[in-house]
Amino acid sequence: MRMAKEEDYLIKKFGIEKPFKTPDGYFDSFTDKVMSNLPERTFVEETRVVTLWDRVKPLVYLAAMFAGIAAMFAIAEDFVGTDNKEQLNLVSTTQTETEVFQAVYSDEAADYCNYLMKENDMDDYSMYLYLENVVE
Amino acid sequence: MNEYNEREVTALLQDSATRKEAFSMIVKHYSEQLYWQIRRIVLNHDDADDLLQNTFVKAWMNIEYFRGDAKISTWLYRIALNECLTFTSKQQITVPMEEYIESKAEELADDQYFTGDEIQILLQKALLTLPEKQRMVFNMRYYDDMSYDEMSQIFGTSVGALKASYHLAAKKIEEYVKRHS
Repeated sequence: MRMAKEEDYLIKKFGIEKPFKTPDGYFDSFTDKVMSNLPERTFVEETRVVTLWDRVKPLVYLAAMFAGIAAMFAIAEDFVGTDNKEQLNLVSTTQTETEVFQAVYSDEAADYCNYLMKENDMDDYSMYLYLENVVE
Repeated sequence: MNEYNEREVTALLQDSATRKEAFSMIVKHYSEQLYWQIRRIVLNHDDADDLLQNTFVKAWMNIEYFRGDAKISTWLYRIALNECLTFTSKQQITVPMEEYIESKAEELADDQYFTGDEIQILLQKALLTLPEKQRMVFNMRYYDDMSYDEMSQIFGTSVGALKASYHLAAKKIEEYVKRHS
């Protein structure tokens, strides 16, 4: 669809014939001229051989992904396990209170011995003999 | 295969064994229309001949990247017009525009391969006032009646922008001609 308003004037005044020409037989010999001047090229074919690895790769990646997820769960479980153990340790600590009491009592016994030694003017050896008799 | 068939040629291009034969068909089929596009831009036959050869050499050097997504003509036009833009950008104009246009008109008048008269020289002078890309759009539409859709693929510009560019070019030429007649 030609002949817009702007074109109208130009077509009437100048026409659409090209005011140029080429040397005689230019286009007849052009193809040969171009083809003989083309740089030599070697093309590497892009045909690709599908290897066994190419075929199993998606499966391997999938398996690796699941293994990764499983490992994450295992590690997470370990962390949870550690917490439990720490809680268990707390429990066991509370369970050995008797030992703590024994330690406290032994301190009291020592204090009592010191008191006896001081009040009765006893030396270490005398105290040792005394305690030996008490134990026997 | 004597008749040029774009689909068959595109298929032959994909195979390295038949690539050169297919390329020869392309050169034969497109050389004339590309030549005239280039010639209207550079005006001189020798320059047009050089640029046309460069266009085909560049196309050949990148032939493996042509996958048939676009038409062969679109691909070649793009290369050719880029060659023209590179060529014209290298021609540094160191004189005022009017002086440059006059010197080009004189060259044209003396050119043995220019067949136009004074009126045609006036048109060429008017065309020289346009920016290169606008001149290309005008030439494609005015002389070859190329569709805006095809031009859009070549230039990578919207159809609307090309229509505006063409009408603006036609208006500028008309004004120049009326001013200088």
